[in-house]
Amino acid sequence: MAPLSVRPEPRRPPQGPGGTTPSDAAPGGGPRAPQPAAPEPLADGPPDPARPEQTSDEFDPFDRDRQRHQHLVGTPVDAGTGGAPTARRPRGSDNLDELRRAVATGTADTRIHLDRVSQAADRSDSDEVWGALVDLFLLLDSGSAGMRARALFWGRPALSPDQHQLLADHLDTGLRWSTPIHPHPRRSLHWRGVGGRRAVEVLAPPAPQRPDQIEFDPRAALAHLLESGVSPPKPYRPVRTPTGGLPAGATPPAAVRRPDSLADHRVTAALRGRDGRSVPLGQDDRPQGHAGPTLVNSVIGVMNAVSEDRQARALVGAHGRLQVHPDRTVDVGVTEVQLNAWCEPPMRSAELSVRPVDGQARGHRILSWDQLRWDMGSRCAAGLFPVEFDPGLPLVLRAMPNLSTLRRLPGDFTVLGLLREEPMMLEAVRAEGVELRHLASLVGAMDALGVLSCDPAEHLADDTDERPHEGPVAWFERLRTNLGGR
Amino acid sequence: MFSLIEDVYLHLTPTGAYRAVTGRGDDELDRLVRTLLSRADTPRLTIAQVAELTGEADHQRATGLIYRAQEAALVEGLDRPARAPTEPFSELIDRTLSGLSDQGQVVLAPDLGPPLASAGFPTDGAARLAAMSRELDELTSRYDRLFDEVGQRGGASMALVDRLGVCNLGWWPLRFADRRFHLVVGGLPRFGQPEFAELMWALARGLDRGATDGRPLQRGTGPRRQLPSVG
Repeated sequence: MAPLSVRPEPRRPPQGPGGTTPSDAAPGGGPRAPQPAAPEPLADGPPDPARPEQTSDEFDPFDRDRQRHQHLVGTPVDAGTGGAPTARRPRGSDNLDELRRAVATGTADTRIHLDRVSQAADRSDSDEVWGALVDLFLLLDSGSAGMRARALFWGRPALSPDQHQLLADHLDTGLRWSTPIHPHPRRSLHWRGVGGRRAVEVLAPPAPQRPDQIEFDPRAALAHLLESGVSPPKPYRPVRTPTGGLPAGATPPAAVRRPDSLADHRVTAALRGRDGRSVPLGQDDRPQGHAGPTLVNSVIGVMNAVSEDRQARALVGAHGRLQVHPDRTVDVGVTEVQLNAWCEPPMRSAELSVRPVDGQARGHRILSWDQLRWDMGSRCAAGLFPVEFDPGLPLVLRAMPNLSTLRRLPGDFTVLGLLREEPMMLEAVRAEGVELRHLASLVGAMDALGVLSCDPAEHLADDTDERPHEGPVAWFERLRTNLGGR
Repeated sequence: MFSLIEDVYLHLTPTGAYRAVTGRGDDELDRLVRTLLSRADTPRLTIAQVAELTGEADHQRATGLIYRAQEAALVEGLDRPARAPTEPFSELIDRTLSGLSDQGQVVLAPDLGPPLASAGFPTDGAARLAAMSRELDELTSRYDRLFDEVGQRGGASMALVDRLGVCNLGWWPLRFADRRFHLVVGGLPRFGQPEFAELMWALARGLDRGATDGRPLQRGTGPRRQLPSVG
């Protein structure tokens, strides 16, 4: 009698997409696992026999047909998103407690934070959403403005207007540990309990005087010299004034004199290692302005109206709609290509309409007002300068834009670095090797952002950056400058 | 240059209270938070008051110290003065204790004797956890020098952790002027909540007034947890 062998009942393999199992797709003979009961057909009909069903073990990243099929049929579309993949929430761990423990480690993994916000929003747990968003805003760095905007977009339905406003105000930079937060986020794992207000503030140090404005007292200077001794001489560095020249009476060395002609611009650019070939020399290479206002002017007008009466409005055009909210966010309901086409001058005012909306987010992307103004200002430029721009006046930077949250533009760091130092004429900026069309784009973006002026007295007047201010000009350098001027 | 904002009362945040009762350091910030915790009310910020709080005669240095504490989220400003809790200790425990854990499981025990209060743990379990906290205290004291050598100076809290290193059950020694307490928390602690600062303030002030009378307080039963037997 044959020995009785007891074979364990075969375990049902995990279900693959479309109801298939790994053993179904395994080639060759041999015992097969029991067939699962009636595989469920996909919503658009039976599976295509010409295309073998894949299993999770045989995932082919290049099988676009399958991916498209899964995307269109196998996944639900979130209401109000139009099926846009950017608005779909991730589905990772279903265990919210596990996610909370992962966040408690202080991780800056955006997937974990977004998953926690998403699951809390799915459960309509307002406290958990509020705590998860506060943790996200505390832990992600200043370069994650897009992630913050997306998480806020998901959590918006579960937040009160005050909670949403607080987070929207910190969309660009995130929260700091000492930021007062109301109401208390009881589910936050990293909040430090600051709910009050600030007790001490830092006063901005007085702006350093320019050397030509400092009253020079030779007797005090000599006394200081005797007390402290002579510091080692520093290399000569001409002190620039807003007009780009030097103090009266000071003769700059020939090597640092500003170039006067376009040919000198090319030489300067080449010497500094930049490509100066794109700086043309023809007479037609003059800055030209727009003939009229552009679309960004209309958007700024809508923003002004919204900030006055706190009523959300939508700017609707032929290419799509921009929904402006009073919390200083904008739902951008157009793609990049559509936005480019929409911004292309001249603006067709007849196609535009503005209408009040209920304030519920419907767009694909959430941007802050500043981000949209900067973005559209550069797009609307199209190689031309703003309509009121006068190339004969200096470019004056009233405040430094926060480039970490804004879209990068060609030459942005170069131009803003120069303008932060002092107001400059357009031609002097071009001498640094920045192409005219890029300069026009930057000027358009800065003008739309409201940080550009033509009055040298307003140089960095609105700058609230907390970088350490440069100390006054070294004493010995002032002495040399003043002695040279006498 | 620092400037005091007018009509602001300086209040300790939960983070400041945590530093005051668990920190072993003795720098200027430690002294500031302990001074604030020992007061009966929140001081109104004036030049004289800041000098008294910080022990600094130079106004800018004193204000700078307050600024450092503010940036570290140790202190905050209030519009109105606040006072240390004066309600009966049992009511305060009812209101605050279970909020210190995400699972509502907390034991507050003095250095000697039975637990002062507990929530979420069974009574016998709370007593054994309190006893265990005293043994852990002796253990950490015995290896104090080793902790210094491996760079863990100032840490006396211990915990059972999961695979992420996150607390499942933790013991925190609390140091007040001349007495010590132990806080045992099941699950993730919530020391960032205002209730924590309130309880620490009450303990710091109440110890002088004998508010607890040494009587154990029991609150709720909560989910029972299997505890290792002691001894």
